Amino acid sequence: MQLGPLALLAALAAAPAQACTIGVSTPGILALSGDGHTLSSANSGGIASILAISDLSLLGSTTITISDTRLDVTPPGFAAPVSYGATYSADWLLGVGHASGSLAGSPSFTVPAVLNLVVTLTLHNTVTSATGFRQGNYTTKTTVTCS
Amino acid sequence: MRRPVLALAVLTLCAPAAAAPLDVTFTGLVVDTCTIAVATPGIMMLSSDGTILGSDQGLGVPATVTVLSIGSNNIALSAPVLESHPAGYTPGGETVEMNTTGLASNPVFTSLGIDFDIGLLSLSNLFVNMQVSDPAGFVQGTYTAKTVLTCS
Repeated sequence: MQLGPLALLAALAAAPAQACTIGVSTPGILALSGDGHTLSSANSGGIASILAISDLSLLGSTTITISDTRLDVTPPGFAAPVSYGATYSADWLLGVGHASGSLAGSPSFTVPAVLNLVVTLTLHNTVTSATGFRQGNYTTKTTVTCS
Repeated sequence: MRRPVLALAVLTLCAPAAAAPLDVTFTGLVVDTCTIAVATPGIMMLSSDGTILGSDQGLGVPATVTVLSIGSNNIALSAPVLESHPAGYTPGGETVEMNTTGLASNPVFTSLGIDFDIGLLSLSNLFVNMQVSDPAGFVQGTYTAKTVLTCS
């Protein structure tokens, strides 16, 4: 009589421990503001990065954290001091669940354990320079982590 | 004998899942842009001794050029020239010079071109003074001197 539950527990325990799977469905594009001081996906012409986060834990809540926004690629000679920002908006269960925040404000949120859960995360990056940006290609990165 | 096995299985389920960090990349391209416009054309007036026709003389007006720059740009003003004069005036003995103030200060009059670099610049004014000097003086009529300003 006790072999059934025991076997189920053993099977679940043997499954690989996986926090989530993060896929990028829309790459982000940065655009320069009219005054030349801000390079942001939230500016006119910019595009937010949209992520699909799946395979979340079925047995407990998952915390998704936005961190470490930084400049990754800049044109040669660009050394102006800059400040970074990132904002996000997340939805799951067709909008029943929702979270939003920023890198500076609340950089993480918790998703409850629900079957067949997919979180859609809309992420913006912003870089601000008091002295503007010289001509060339720029790349920013933000790290998204499940735990 | 069965209880330790059950406890082990439950502990494994409750263990924190491994993190799966992903770097999300954003790309952007900045293109240098520069906008220039003549807000006020310059007006040259004759000096009291009749040998200098200049925008810095009494009642003269310097030309005002507005500049808006994003990225890294260069402004170049070509050497000034006398573009038109009355039929009775014989050119050749005149000297055409200019100076700039405002956005770029080059207060000494020069007959050479002027150029300077600019970076990010909100709408700014460049004032250009022009003068034509001729020890022989000027005959009655309309004179035009010009410099070509480019931003690139």
